[in-house]
Amino acid sequence: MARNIHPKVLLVEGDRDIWVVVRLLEKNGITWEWGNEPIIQIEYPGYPQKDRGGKDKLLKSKFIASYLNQRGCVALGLLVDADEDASRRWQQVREACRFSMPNIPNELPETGLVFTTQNSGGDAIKFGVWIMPDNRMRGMMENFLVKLIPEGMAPLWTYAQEVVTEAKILGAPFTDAHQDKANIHSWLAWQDPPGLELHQAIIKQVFSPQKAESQIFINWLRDLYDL
Amino acid sequence: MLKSLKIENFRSFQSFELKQLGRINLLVGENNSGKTSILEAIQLLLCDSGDLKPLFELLLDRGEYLWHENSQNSPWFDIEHLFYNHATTVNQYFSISSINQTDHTKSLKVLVQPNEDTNSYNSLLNQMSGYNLSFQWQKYHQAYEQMIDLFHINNRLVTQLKQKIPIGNSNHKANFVSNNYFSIETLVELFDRYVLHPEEALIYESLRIIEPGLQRIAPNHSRYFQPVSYRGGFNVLLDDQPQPIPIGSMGEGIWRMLGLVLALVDTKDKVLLVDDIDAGLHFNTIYRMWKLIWKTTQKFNIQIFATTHSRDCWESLAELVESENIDEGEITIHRIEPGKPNSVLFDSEMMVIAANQGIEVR
Repeated sequence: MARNIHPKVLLVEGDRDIWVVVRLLEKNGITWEWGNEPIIQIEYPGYPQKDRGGKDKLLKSKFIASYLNQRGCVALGLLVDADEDASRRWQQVREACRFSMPNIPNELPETGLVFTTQNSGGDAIKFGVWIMPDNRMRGMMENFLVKLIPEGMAPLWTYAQEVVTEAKILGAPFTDAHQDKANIHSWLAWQDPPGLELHQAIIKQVFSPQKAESQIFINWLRDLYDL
Repeated sequence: MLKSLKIENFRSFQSFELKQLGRINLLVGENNSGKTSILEAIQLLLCDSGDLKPLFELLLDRGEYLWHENSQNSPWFDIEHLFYNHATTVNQYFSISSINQTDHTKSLKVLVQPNEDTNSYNSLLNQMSGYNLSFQWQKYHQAYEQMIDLFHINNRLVTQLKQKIPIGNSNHKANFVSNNYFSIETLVELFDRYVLHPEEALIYESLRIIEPGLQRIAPNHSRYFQPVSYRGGFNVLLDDQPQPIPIGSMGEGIWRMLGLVLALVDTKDKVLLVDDIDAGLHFNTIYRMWKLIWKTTQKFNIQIFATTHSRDCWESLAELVESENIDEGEITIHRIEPGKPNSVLFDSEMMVIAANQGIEVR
């Protein structure tokens, strides 16, 4: 029943996000030696039972406060999708954080939030927030990865989007909110091998993890966790 | 009920505060983090009737006394360790204060001061008391002071208690259950106090958590009986045994549970302080222990502060919160860390999240 206490924790919405972050870090030279302590412990609501996770549980005051009060915590990050509206998501995040961090800043910087706060015992803790894809635009993890599509593949990416729009006209049942998702999974369907998962696509260089567009996010992680 | 507690210059705490206390408060933290000291602080604060026997009990419990050629069957109590950094000079003080549910403050300041009493001669030591230890309680607009004479032995400030410490703490507003509490004499006396009372049912309910086949329990009142061992003094009748057996033939758990439930029923409308609450109990009994405690603390209006080192102990408490749907302020976990100004708090909702997420609270 013993638990390895990890001082650096990143909270995400679900299992899929864990692997994307791990692969992005690896491809940027921050390697995880499996079997050793992870560089960052990445968890989501329901993590130990492999539950579905989800934004509603993640963005609860007491959920965040519980992690902040975890024994030995020195850095805690929150990675969440903007979905329809990044600024509305930020207000929701801020509201959830204010219970344990009354001093949370008003504004979310374009480069992600990193600030020093305290747990209820008075320990200094670095706290960070990143709203996918870029703290400004609507969207999600998929929209962030789209920016990492290699330059030479731009025509294929444009074509994928056109095909999805066409499919919608022909009665494809996905909702408008999932248009971005449909785009990227169509794109993934035409790679080698077809139908890779997002994190596998990073390994296979279907996305270019070192592209300048990913560096702002990587730098947020470096800053928050002193990597 | 105490809502918050503040401690200054007491034992390992220079300044320390616990906020948002509930009805059940579980103190966790490393060895030597000061969990027991917090129980002691509450105990002293609530001695405001001026009866200082609990002070001597806690010094005894820690072995903070010395024997001297002039001890005469009663040790000299070394009071220096009560102070932060073990330092006692004139005007050195420690203080403990609390705010209760109705926002009233109660405080205790304990001060070393020059002794001006000319009758403070101690014939055993052939010494006048140079100092006294002044206990100054304040609540609402009342103030009360109690002083004990201090003497020097081997450069230490000591004091002596003349009378024997009686069993049970019925005059105090807090009962302290430490290891020494579980003596045969204490348990027999408390059992006799509650047998044939409505509380007796609770005693059986708790003992059957450990031993479902327990039928009856009775103290051994043989005129030849002398409490010479750690456990004993009771005989137990079990379903599958033709003859009663001595309680000592059973495991440690039944003895601890008997002590715990007797302390609970003896704490009506008061504060119960329990050091190492799950000691001697198997993990599969801890949940039922908490359930019984929760029921009893509500019924008898008891506030409880307990310490533990075990994961099973706090996770079982979280399980109780979840299954009984207990309000967030009623049950708390406080992590005590040396050198910090505050405890790290997990309220009822947070402790359930922590248990489900595998967050380490201790």
